[in-house]
Amino acid sequence: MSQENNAADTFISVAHVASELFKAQSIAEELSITSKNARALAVRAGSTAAGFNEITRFIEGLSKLTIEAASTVNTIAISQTKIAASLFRTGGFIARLNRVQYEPKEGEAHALAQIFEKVNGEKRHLEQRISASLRDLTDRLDETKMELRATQVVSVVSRVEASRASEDFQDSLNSVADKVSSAGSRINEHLENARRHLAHLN
Amino acid sequence: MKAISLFQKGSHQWLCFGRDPERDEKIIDTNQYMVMNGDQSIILDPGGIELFSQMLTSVLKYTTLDKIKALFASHQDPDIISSLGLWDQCLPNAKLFSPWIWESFLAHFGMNNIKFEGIPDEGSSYQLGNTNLEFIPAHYLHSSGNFNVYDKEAKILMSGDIGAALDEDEAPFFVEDFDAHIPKMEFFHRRWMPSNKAKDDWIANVRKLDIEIMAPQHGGLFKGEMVTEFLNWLERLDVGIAQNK
Repeated sequence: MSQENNAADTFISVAHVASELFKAQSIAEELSITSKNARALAVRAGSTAAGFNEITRFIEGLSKLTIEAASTVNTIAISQTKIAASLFRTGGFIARLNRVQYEPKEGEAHALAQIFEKVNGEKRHLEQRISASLRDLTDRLDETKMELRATQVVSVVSRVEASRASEDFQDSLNSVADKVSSAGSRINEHLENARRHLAHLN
Repeated sequence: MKAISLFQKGSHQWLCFGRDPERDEKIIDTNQYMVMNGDQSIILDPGGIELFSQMLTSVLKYTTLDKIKALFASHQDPDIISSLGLWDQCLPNAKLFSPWIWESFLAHFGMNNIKFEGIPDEGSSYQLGNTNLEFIPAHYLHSSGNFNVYDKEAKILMSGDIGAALDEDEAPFFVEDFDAHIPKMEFFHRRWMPSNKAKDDWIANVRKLDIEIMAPQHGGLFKGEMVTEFLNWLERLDVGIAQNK
């Protein structure tokens, strides 16, 4: 694959990653509302749902974590896209310089030598930045995925706590547990997709 | 890419580059110009990205990069100046002269090193070596911010899209039969030029200049009597009509 295609491939893939994280962020925002509703429900359910009240703090934490991760990934993705676009331009420039038919006259310095040296240096620098940025992006996605494993635990514990609450509130509390579980799975799915978009670039 | 000399007196020279046989057929043919005087050069309407390699190849046959002090873009179209980002990496100390209104638009092509010199609406001039090049207003012909370049000594008017024609690749550089040339430029002028008033003002202004060669950005160049023929024809033409015929 040519250098230009590699660069183009990078910013297309990174744009996809940002898009997946945007979707994950929307789900996390829903999760945040679920958490607030759950807290109100736990207060109404009284002492039998006191444990549930504590769990809502974890749910809120998970939501916050995803929103922050999406924001970080978005920042990295924007920076990555800019670097990739510069690399794309630089690659295009080098390809066009290579097509210039020029031979220096005897005793004359090569008119394009300095430009080649400068632009090749820039290209190496951009490639290094893009590799470092890709590693950052991958690490951040992996960390978020690890942290989100807790959603399944929170969901199970929620069900246990729901079973302890008075019967009037059990269905509503179980519904919260379902929403947490579903949100966790859906966010995870988007993180997996994002990871897949990056897999072939590493 | 072919090149011809339009004028030469001492170190003062006008070159026209065009009729590129290696050009992709989807890309409209363009004329690029370079004016040299002493150890300074300016490229007028340097062209699009796709022509950059051929242009640099051609330019280096006549000058060195350190002597290219400036670029001129008559307006903002891609076939005029989309190569800006590439020249920007070759000419770190050059200036770009272009209508002031296009500065932030042209920056989209990449302009990190080249210094933008906005030409005010009323026009201005540029001292190239020992010669003075005048930037003549040609607004709305076709772009809303648009200039021609006039060289009094060489008697050449680089007219940008005014006089442009969709010529064959093998056509001669100069128009030889004006009547036969009309069909190649009529639709372009009717469709691309939006204002009869702007057209008439420009003609009145240009008639005051001593012009031996009128050099458009597409198609054949007009020389001698052909310049007057063109001005007379354009005067009669009703422009700003969107009929795709």
